[in-house]
Amino acid sequence: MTSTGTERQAHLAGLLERARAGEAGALDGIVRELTPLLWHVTRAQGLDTADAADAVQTTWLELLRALHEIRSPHALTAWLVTAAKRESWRVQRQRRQTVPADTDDDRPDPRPEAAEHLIADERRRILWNHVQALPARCRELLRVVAMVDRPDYSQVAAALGMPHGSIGPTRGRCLTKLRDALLADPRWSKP
Amino acid sequence: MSESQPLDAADFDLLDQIRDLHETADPMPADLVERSLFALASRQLAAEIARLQAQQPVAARSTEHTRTLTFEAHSLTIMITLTETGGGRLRVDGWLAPAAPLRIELRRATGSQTTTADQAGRFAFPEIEPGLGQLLVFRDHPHEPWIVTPAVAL
Repeated sequence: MTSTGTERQAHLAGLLERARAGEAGALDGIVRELTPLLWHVTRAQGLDTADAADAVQTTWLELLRALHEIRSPHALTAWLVTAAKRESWRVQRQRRQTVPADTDDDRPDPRPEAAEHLIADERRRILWNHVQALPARCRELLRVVAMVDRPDYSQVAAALGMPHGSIGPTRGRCLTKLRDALLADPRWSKP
Repeated sequence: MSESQPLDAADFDLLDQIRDLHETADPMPADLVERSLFALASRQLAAEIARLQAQQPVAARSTEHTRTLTFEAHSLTIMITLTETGGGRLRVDGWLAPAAPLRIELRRATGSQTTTADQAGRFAFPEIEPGLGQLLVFRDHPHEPWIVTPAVAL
């Protein structure tokens, strides 16, 4: 996984350089690589599926205007995560202002409970339940960090407010909580 | 388990599993990459991005098969109403607020249509095919749009 992440980084670095030089296809390559990450950032912020899709697209339009100031693929990923979060907040602020509280829309929106049946494997369901039992901030952080390639961790973790040691991001409260919970769960720790 | 330790192999393995869970439980829409690419395809560095606002349910008039979309930028609001005209085609009626006689381009995968709003800010594309579309509004520059919208399904 680590080597895959490193190769992807090199690939992204090349795409970024060519995109900054104005090569149209290079930017498309970046969009293909990083749209899944942005989807999970906006969904982790609590946007419904329709709003999340719009926020992802708007983030890409914003990138087009900021491309000249982004120099490394780490910086690119961190910039995109931050921009997608900011865009999500903007959408939420606006929804609170315009949508009356009692008109909950009925757009499909897989909630954690609904997602559970999608996960057939017993062991994965145990992990899912422990992840869902974490505080909201930890769920959000782990969801986004899990989507990020290893070499990007430092900068993205910093953008997300994850603790940082002298040699890189540390395990932090959220992963520690999750690992402790899993260790304490006999269904998980049995070989 | 210490919080201040650097991430180890078990942490990375756990994160991989969490990634896998989210990809299963909440996959991104199949057309999201396509929509993003379409919105970027014009490579137009607009001064502003007009964001899609919450869609108004037009329940009372649903028999007319109309849909209204509102895009909002700092300096301009674009509202369009889509009406089915039969044969699977749509009519687009739009308003700019504040009203201004600006040139408006409707970008489609198949090409673009251009029109100019009247003094009241009204414009129309009388017949379009359903599919992805993006609006570009031109003001100061003939080639660089003043405002762009995201790509939306029309």
